Amino acid sequence: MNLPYIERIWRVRGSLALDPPQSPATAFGKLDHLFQAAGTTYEIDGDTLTFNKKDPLSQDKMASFNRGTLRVADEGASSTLLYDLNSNTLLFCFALPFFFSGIAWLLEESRTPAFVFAGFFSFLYVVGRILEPWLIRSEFRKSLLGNTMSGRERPVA
Amino acid sequence: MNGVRVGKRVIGADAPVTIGWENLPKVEGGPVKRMFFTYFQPAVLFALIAFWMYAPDSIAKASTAIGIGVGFKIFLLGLEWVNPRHSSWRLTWKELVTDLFYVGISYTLVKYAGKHIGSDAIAEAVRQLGDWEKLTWFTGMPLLVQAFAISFMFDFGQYWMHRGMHNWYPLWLTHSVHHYITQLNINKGAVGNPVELFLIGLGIGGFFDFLPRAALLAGSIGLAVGTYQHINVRFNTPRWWRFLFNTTEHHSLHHSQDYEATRSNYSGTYIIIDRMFGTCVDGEAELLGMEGGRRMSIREQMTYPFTEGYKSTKAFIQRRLQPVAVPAE
Repeated sequence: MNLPYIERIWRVRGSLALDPPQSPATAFGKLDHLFQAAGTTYEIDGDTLTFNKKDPLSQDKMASFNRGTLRVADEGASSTLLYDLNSNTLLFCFALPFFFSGIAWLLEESRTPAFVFAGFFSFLYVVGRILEPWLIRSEFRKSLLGNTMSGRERPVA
Repeated sequence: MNGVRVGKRVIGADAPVTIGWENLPKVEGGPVKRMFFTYFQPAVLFALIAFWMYAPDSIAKASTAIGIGVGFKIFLLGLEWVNPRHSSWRLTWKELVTDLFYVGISYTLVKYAGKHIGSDAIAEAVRQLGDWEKLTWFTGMPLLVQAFAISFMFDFGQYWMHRGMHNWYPLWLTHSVHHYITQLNINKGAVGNPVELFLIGLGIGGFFDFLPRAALLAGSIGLAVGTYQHINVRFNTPRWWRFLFNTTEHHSLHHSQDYEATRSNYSGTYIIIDRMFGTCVDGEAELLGMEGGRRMSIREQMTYPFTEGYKSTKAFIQRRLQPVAVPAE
């Protein structure tokens, strides 16, 4: 099923240019620590890494993403990391305002707190949809480019 | 691991714990920071007591109490950010969403159930049964004495309910879910199976209409002490406070991965009740949870008491019906 717009609710896609270029094996080696976590399984097939996370620990840096693929497009002079991640937590948070609005509708006495929580979760969803992709991207960047920053990116002391 | 002998028990044989106040880290930083994290807890307690004793009737209402509770928790979330006790307990976005989901359930569904079949219904029945004229000796006492008596009696009941949960399997089934949390944060008190939240809530809500001022004062003592149970903030808690009151250090031991440590510090507010009954252990733990810190999903937290209860009942019946194993031919 192809739901390009609706999928953006829970799907995070992005790319990261690797400069200097890295082979898939090198890049996945640098990202390996992210997948050495409780409940995580992964397999590498050529240039593509597919992972699954079941009940990741709270401090797992990828805890918000339960499955996804990472591909390193190696084009000789340049290479790019392309990622496509699925977040059940984002979907859950997106659904919560509807859930609490439902409670408000069903239980008149709980109307005020239910609407307050529906509001909280709407806000939290927006925060999470921006924050989580940003955090995972910076984690990828740190792992892949952390020690090999190009002159242009290196901060001037 | 050898563990540490505390009374007749050995604490910390299964998982690391720190026993004894002298072994706990202190707040690091300048004099202002150290003073803040030493006197913050008592200052808030005394401020709340003063508020509920002297505020005019027009603002001393249950809705004000709810507002203060919410504001206080938001402020404490900020403190967790500024001065965490363990960086391994840092609040993440996912953790906040999960915690707030349970808080939301408590404020809506659990409260609704409490009102109609739980605490409020029981309180109403009790109120109609009793001859409350006989209680004028109580309501004639100073407000603070009444409030202390209410909060102490309530916590005494909670102590035995909680200790019961750790010792009687059907109650443990509902409470065990709360013990799967792997870090402490301000809202973690709400994380657990809703059946447990309902049981814990029995007796809280309904008495709010009765002796309003004293009950609100009692509630705020609970708020100003009990809230710190599940907090990720490093305090230099004053000696007299940690002797009388439950602290996040006590409660982290209670949530430790070490089995013996979990069988201590049952009270919510007055740790002195644990001292009275020999269940108090002074210290702290960083590694929390059950089954070596296995993470439980929300779905499993909702169903666990029922699926585990079903499995145990089935095994029990099977043992009864087939006491002798028949060897395979």
